[in-house]
Amino acid sequence: MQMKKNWKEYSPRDNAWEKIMQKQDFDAQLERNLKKLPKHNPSEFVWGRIEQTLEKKKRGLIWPPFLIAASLTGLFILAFYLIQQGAVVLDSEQIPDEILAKTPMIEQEEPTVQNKLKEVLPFENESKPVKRVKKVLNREPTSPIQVPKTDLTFSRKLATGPLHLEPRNQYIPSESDPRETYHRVAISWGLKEKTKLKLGSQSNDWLNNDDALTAQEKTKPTKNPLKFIIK
Amino acid sequence: MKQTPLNSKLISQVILNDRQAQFQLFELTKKMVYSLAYRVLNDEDEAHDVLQDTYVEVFQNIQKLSHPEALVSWMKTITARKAIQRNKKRLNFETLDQVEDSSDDFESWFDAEMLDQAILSLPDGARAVFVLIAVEGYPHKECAEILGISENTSKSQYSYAKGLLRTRITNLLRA
Repeated sequence: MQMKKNWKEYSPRDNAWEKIMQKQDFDAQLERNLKKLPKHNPSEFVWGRIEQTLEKKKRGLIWPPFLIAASLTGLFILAFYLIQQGAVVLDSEQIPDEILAKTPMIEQEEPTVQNKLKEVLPFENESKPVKRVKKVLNREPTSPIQVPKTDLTFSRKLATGPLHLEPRNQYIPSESDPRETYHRVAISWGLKEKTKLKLGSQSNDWLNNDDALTAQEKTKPTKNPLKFIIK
Repeated sequence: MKQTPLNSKLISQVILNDRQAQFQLFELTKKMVYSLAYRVLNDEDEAHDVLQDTYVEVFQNIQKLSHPEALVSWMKTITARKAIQRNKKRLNFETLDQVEDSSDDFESWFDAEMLDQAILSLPDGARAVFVLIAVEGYPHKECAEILGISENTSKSQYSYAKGLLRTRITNLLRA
């Protein structure tokens, strides 16, 4: 059984069909013209710039592998040269004993200073072929190299001779003041004797000396009156 | 100079870094690449830069292209990405509130030149969407991915661009 609904019907505007046609027309025109859009032409110099950039990048790509290969080759050549020159000596302990046993032994001369120098300076042996031998040596202590002794002490001409000072008389302390001490000082540089007389071991009289006072202290009035002590 | 058609032989020569073949490919495709870059950027100098960058990348990476028959669409994608990347700071997608009223009647005829002029007058964001979808034929999903926007934004911007075009073409016809 079919039910028919009585929905209210609305009417569109009078110009609706025209609008649809217009819209369809615009879309149709748009669709059609999009396929015919003009093509823009770039500048003629662009290819030159592209070529330049490609060449630069190509050079940049070639250099790093070339540099690595060149440095490795250089290292190999240097290593080969050093081995040929004998600067790099293989440790005989690393060579297996079987190989060493097959190697003919050569008696080595008694080590002299010249032979030692040849061992230390391998470039001296450039002309001679290098033979690797196991050293069979009596490890006896060699005589020490005699070095002429030189007198390292100062010459007597340079050093000053001993000073002959006058013999001192024996000091006899005075009986009146047993605290009195008597010092005689001899200064060696000027060979001039200076005598200091010190009365009393703890006396501070030297402080009263004018030379020891500052200018301010000299002008400052003292509280203590001037005393004259007559002995 | 006689131009070699874009075929697999030319592409294989380009892969072998044959400079002559590279030049042939450039001559065959330069207008397509430049037009796309120019419509996205609306600036001749920047379009030239994009063109240069595109061809350098194409010639350097063409060996990696698994399907040589897809060369043209691959080049278009490189161009579009480079142009969008260059124009990224200027790309702003206007909200739909700002859509101009296009209720005026449209009863005129327009040609491709006028359409091209109207496309270039569009705002940057809407123009990029319209060029990628309507001119280059990208689906909304891919367009959104290239532009870094959502698919819905791409759709709304496309409708917005169409409405604007209608208005601009009407104004151009009236002028």
